[in-house]
Amino acid sequence: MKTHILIPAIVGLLYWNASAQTADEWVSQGSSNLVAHDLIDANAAFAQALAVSPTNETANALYAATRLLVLPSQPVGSNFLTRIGFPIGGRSVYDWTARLPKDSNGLVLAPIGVDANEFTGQARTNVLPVVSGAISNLAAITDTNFTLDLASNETTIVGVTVDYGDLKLIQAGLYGAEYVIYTLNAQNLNAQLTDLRALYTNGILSAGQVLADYPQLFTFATTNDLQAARVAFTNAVNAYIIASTFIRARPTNEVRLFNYDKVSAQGEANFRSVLQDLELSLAGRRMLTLDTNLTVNMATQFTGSTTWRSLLPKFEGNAIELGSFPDLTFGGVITGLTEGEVEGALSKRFIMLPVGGAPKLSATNTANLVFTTLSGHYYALEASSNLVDWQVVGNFTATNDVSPLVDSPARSKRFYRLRDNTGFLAFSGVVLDQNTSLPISGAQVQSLYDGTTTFTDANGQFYLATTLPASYGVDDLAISAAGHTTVYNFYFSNGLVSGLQIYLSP
Amino acid sequence: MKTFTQNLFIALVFLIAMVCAPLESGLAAPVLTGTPMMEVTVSEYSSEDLSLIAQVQATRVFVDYEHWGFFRIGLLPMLAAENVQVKIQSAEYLTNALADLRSWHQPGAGFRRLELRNLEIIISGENQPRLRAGVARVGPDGAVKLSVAAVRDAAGRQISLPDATLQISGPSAGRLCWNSGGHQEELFILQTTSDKTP
Repeated sequence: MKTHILIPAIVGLLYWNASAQTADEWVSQGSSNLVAHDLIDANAAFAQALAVSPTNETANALYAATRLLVLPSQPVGSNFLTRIGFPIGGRSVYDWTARLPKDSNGLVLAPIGVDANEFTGQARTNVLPVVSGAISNLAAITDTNFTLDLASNETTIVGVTVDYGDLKLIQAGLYGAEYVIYTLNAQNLNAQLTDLRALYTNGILSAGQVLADYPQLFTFATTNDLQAARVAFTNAVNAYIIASTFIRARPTNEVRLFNYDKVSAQGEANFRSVLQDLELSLAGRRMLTLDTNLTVNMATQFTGSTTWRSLLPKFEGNAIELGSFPDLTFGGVITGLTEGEVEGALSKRFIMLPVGGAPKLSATNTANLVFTTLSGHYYALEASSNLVDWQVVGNFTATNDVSPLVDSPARSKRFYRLRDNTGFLAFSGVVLDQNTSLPISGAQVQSLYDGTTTFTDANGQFYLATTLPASYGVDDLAISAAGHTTVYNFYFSNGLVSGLQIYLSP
Repeated sequence: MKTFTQNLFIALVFLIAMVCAPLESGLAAPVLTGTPMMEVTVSEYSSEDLSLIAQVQATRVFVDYEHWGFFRIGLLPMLAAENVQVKIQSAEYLTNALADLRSWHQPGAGFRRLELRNLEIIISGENQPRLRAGVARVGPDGAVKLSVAAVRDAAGRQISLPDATLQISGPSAGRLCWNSGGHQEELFILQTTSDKTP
């Protein structure tokens, strides 16, 4: 009987003690937990501080940070990390050493039975509420004079002062994360990771193959989140503008978490300008301040009328066919872009394939050819009679999206192809005998820097495309043939070096 | 007889050691408090005959911060040196230079890396630098990341590399790696051009 009375008394006493602790004391306790690298107890202490004083700005800032940092160690986060293959150990955010398992080639192993959709589902279900909660905490900080000093033993790096502008920038980033999660969750990403890895293992993983195997990929899974994505986008832009204004107005001798960089001033100003134009375009089509040739209409992104898939060009493996973009306005989001501008931008990341029309033979026995091309790119027109041996019959720099070409085939059957040599060092020419000046067939031409090798054809002709970018600047070629002395030639080049005549001494 | 590329490698290692040596000795205390050191010159002499081995000059050494997007991050300070020129006279003391280099990383100061901007390495008696880099970033993992780099070999030929990584410690010390058309390329700069293998 006495025991029954005693237990409630103890619990009551503990409760009274907890209630008696002030918000500042809870914050102090949480800071001590941070020093001890105990994020979970720190997060709990900051939560207690907010329970006592919901408007405590320091507690809100620290709770926002720790509720994000503890996510990997909470059951939902931890279980998902385990499901996708992360080992249990080494998951401390202070010293993260856990790595996804890899095969002998260093490629990450695909977790069995995991679908790409699970990542967006996990983000939507478990990460998004935490992100939104942190945003709410940061929104509670309204004093523009607010500062928070974090000691080096709390950050584990160096001490730093966080102010209102820093927190607004973090808030903008979190709104951006909301926008990305809502947007990605709207997409159909239904593809088994193990299937994708099998494509890779079999050497057939490419954009074209994946799109062919998954006809629903990048169509809408749901449009329910699109309006929420629109709100998140607006909030992100507004928070960024406030943060940028605050940070740019700071005295230059103050060091805070995020500091204005004069070197990046123009880039930041341009970024801000584009963001503001995009936000304003939610109310209707708007001309871009930085490029009056372009108009934007961000609202169309959130209507659910256009799928990402419908905007994709034709892929051949991982290469994009020139002239195959179905909609250069990308669903009405932007107008004024030319085909050359879009394809030129993509050419920095993708191989852009020229596509040829049917050749026409003229009365004077010349072949008239037409290829889609990329203006400013350097091409080599090659011809072959057997689709095995190819010979360069012309080089040119394209000046338009379509390039008409002419060749004299001398009545013989010929196949043609157009090779884009813009990005790589390439060499073409003929290998000859020093004594007889006759072509040497079967001579080996090899780049000493990347090992790419080719052999001369029956006419002594060769074409060697290296894997070296044109900006590489130099290359050594080794040219050898049976019964001849090997020659090493050195070239400065930037693109295609053609017309080479290389003599080998017997 | 050391080869050119050995000289080059030693120069880089020596440079880093020289910039960091003042920190270790406490001479760079003003830097740690935010005051830059201007027109810094450090000379290294042979302990055997007191001849000049190398000289490092920098117009400014100061604390900067790593960039994320448009902003510098106050939580991530680094030591920066601008307009760094290294003149090498001798190729000796490689081992010592390596040992000095490893001690540059000072946890107490909180620097995660050292950044050398507009770096030139010159072999004494030559007109042109053997190595130029817009930025050379030294991390605690013993790797130097070079941006907008140009390397010349003994024959005067220049290799231009937008980005490259130079390993300066461990068994792969001296390996220069870069990405070329999706392929990883490498060159052991301790070898001369004639030594190199494709």
